[in-house]
Parts: sequence; structure tokens; C-alpha cells
Amino acid sequence: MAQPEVQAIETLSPRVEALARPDRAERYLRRTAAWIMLVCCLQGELGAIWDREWHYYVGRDWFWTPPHTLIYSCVAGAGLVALAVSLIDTLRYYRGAHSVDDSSTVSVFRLFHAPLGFVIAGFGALQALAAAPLDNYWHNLYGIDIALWAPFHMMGVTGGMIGILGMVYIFASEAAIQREAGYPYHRLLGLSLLEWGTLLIIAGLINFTFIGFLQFPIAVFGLLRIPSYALPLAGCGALALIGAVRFTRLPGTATLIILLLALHTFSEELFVPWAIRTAVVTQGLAYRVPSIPYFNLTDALLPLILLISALIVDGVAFWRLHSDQRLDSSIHSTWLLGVLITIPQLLIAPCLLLGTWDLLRVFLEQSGVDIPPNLKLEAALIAVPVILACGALGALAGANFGDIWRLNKS
Amino acid sequence: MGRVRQATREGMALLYTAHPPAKPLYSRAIPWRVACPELILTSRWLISSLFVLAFTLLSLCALPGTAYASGNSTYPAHTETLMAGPYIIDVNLYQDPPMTDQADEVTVVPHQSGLRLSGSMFMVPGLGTDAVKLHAPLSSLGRSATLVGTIRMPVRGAWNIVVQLDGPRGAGQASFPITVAAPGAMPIWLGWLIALTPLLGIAWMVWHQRRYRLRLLGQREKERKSV
Repeated sequence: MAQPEVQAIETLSPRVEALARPDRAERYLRRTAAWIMLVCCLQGELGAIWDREWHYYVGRDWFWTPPHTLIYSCVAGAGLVALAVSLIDTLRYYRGAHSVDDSSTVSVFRLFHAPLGFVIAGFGALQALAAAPLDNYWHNLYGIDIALWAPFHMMGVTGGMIGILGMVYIFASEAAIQREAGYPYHRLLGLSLLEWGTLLIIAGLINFTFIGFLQFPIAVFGLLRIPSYALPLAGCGALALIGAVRFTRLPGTATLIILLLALHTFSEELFVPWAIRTAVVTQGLAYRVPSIPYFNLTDALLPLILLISALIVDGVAFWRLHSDQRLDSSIHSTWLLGVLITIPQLLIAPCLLLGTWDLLRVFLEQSGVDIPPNLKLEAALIAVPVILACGALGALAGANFGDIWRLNKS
Repeated sequence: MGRVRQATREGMALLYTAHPPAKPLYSRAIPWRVACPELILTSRWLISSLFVLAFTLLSLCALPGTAYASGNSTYPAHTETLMAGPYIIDVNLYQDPPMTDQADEVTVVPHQSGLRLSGSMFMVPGLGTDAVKLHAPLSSLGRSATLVGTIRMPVRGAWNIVVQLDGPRGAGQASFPITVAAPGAMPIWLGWLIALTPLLGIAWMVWHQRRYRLRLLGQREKERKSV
């Protein structure tokens, strides 16, 4: 008797089937919140890039500038969504609702029970919000033109990073549940909609690193000025690319991340200069620099820095699958892949940013300085291993997080 | 290598025979966590202590000179190495960051010790700082090659210190940015300490997630075997 029923269920459409599942309410709650948070994430990235450009072209006249409003509304929005889901799931946990138990939530302070991703995203948003008044206070103390490398800027940035990481957890856990639930679902290029959401946020993670790209501090070694942007780039790039491939177990995902990242950067370059020009005109402001913002091709092409790295990651994944090796094997050897994929970034990034193949200029930030060759070698011997180590650490973290994103259902 | 390994094994065996522990720490049958729960607490305590230590050290290392920045002490709070035309110089600040309307000593030390230089400094307001360009002369400190001057900026915010030098090899100029703090400003080290405190949570999370991954992989293996 059971057999015809099973067959009947299998022939139902995904939509009808979704309505029949017992954890429908929980899935609906978490997935709706996840998509709202994705919108917040995209809005926050846009706001952060707009803010960076606003600082350069217009200045920071007061706290509630248009980009700040965009950033903090999204941070508050994401934080409130995370808080709401955490509270609702806590209530549902104590009521014994279906699929809200210790296996699908984590305990916070032994009182609240919420999905791991929402907990992480909530703490990230809280940190970013806590940094806002402190940052304003810091600007009052030290002036309006404090660089990105100021304490409470970094506090806000790390809060944002944690928030984005939390969002990856949210989407990835729902994708894992969907994958293993056995219900049919739509796929595009072998990926479910929730997996696409995950990859979009992982691309956002790299994009968020790009925001501070050119404003990172210069490490000073005597006469040498070495830009430190390569460190977060190598670390975050390896984490995102390797994490994404280990999450989907599909070769090609890393390259897809670069395409999604290019979508981010091109759309931001289309929006931000226009938004600044419009705001300056409508608010009667003046530019603090002689130039007017327009579409910047270099900024839009920043994803190219990671393209070869992505192809290497995909190539290794493809080779492993074809030689019947598992992609989720030990993470200990991943550091080597991290080092390998950092090398092309070291070559492409300065060429793209400086518009020249003269790599030594990277170490010659101080204009007009004639650096002796032995000092250049010294600088390279200090900088390159540190950057490669960042890539290796990023790869280890990416492999670790990628496996968790693949398997975690809480 | 084989000999070393063998010797180590023998040494360990001797050590074990001489001081046999009442209960072996590592056993194939009983995991050490179960056999010695106090070790978990100890290792946790050790890891936490290491994190706190590393964090404190990082905070202090990230802020060069703040330890000496309380006043005009003998040690510079901040040193900039610059190339002013043909001269390589160290510019020493004895207060970092300088406070508004407070006179702070600056010394300019050429790397070539025999040089006799003269010159002056200009304090140029940076972007977003509403002030005018200021001038400060540099004079020789006794018979040494060191030049000394005093800077005083009236407005907080971004400034550029421009050093102009003249000497036997001609004239040269170099500049570097500084940030001037408002009176009574929170010290920079305290700002960093507050801002970096959440990193402890992040470090804990990364460590926790490492163990979580192993647990997830273990669960999956179990499920596979049961299937």
C-alpha cells in the first residue's frame, strides 16, 4: 500500500511538495530571513564603497552622510532580522516545534536557541553598530580624515566581515538541508537557488575586502614603503575561492565566484559615481578634489586579480574528481594550494593598480627615492613570504569553512 | 633518521620505566579526554592565556612609541626615515600623536654622521583640516649633526610635516603625514585595545569551528557506514 503513495509524492511538483513537508514553517522563516539579509548585504557593500568614494570626493561633513545612512540602515536591518529569527526560534524551541531542536540550533548563553548563521550574523551586526558611535567619537578627537586603518573603522569592518560570514552560514545550512531532505528542487548550472545565494554572499565577502583595498596602510621599513593591501586580499581570496569549491563540490565554482564578483564591481562602478554627482548637485555640496567621479575601469576590473587563482582552484578540483579523490579530504595540504594561488595575485595586482609591469614600483611608494638593489631584495624577502603565508592561512580557513558550509544544518 | 627515532624510542622507554605514571595519559582504548578531563581544562586555560598574551603583545607592537609618548622623554615616540633629496634622515617625534596647541620637540638626524645641515620645517594642513601652513626653524643641537625644532599645530586632524634641508650636497625636501589629536583625546592604544577586543571572540570562533568541522565529518562518516 505504501508504494503507490511514495510514487504519488514523487510525481508532485516541488511547490506542492514543499507545502506538504513538516518543517515548512521553519524553512519559510529561515529562508525569507536569508533573502532579506542578502539584500542587506548587497546594500551594505554598496554603501561602504559609496562611503569610501564620498570621503575622497566630498569629505565627511557629518555622521549622517547618504552612504553612512545606507550602511547603517542595512546593518541595523540585518541585525534586527537576526535578532527576530533568534527570538522566534528560541520560542519555537521551548514549544517543541518541528525541526527546531538541539540539532538545528545552537545554544547562546544557555538561554537562547537559534541557528548558527543568525547568531554569527547578529553578533557581527552588533559589533558594527557598536563601532559607529565610537568611530564618530574618534573622528571628533582626531579629525574628519582618519584613514581606514583607524581602530573603530577596523572594528566596524571586522563586524561587517563576521556578519557576511554569518550570512554564508545561513544560506549554506539551508542549502544543505535542501540537498539532504530528498525533496525535488530547481537547479541552475547544477546549483540550487540557495547555493547561488551562498556564492553571491561569498563574492560579497571578497568585494568587501576590495573596499579597503587602496586605503590599507603602508608598512614602513626604513626608506621602504610597502603597501599592505596584499595581505587581506591573499587571505580573503584563498578563503573564498577554496571555501566555495569545497562547499559545492563542483569544479568551476571558483571561476563563478569571480564572475559574480565582477557583477558586484561593475554595478557599483555604474552606481557610485552617479550617486555622488547627483548628491553633490542636489545637496549643494562642493568637491574637495579637482576631479569629478566617473566610471573607473580599474576598480571594475579588480576581480581579474583573482581570475588565475580561481582557475587554479577549479583545475585542482577537477583533477581530484577525475582521479577519484575526494574534495573534502584532509585540510592540512591545502596550505600549498593557498601559496600557489597567491603567486599570480602578487603579479597581477600591482600591474592592474599601477598600470605597469614594473613590479619594483610596488616597493617604492615614496616618490623620487632611489632604493639600492639590496634593500629591494630585503623588502621582497620580507613581504613575499608574509603575503604567501596569508594565502596559506586563508586556504586552510577556506577548506575548514567550506566543509562546514557543506555539512552544517544548524 | 632511523637511528634518531630508535634512540628516542629507547629513551622514552627508559623514562617510562624509571617513572611509570599511575595512569597512562594516552591510551588506545581510552581517549585522553576521557582519561584525563583535567587536561582539557588545562589546555583551554593555556589557549585562552596564549590568546590574551598574543592580543596584548599585538596591541603594544601595533602602536610603536606609545609607551614613551607621555611627554618629551629621551626616547622618540615615533621615527620616520625619509630621503630628502641627497640626504637620508630620521625624523624623531617625541609625542605621538601630537596634541593640539602643544609644543613638541622634533629632531632630524642624518644617516651620514659627518654632515652639517641646516633647514626648516613646515606644517601643512591635510585634507579636511581647516588651518593654515605653519613654519618652524631647525637648529643644530650642539656640535652634532642632529637638527632640532619645535612643532605646534593649533587644529586637530591630518597634517603633513615637510622638512627642507640644505647642505654640502645641495637642497632636499621630504614630508610625512601625522594626525594631531584633540586635547584630552583617548589614547590611541586604548582605542585599539577596545576595537580589537572582538578579535578574541573571532579567534575563539575559528578554533571552535575547527572542532565543529571534525564533528560534522565524523557524523557523516557514521551515517555513511550505517547506510
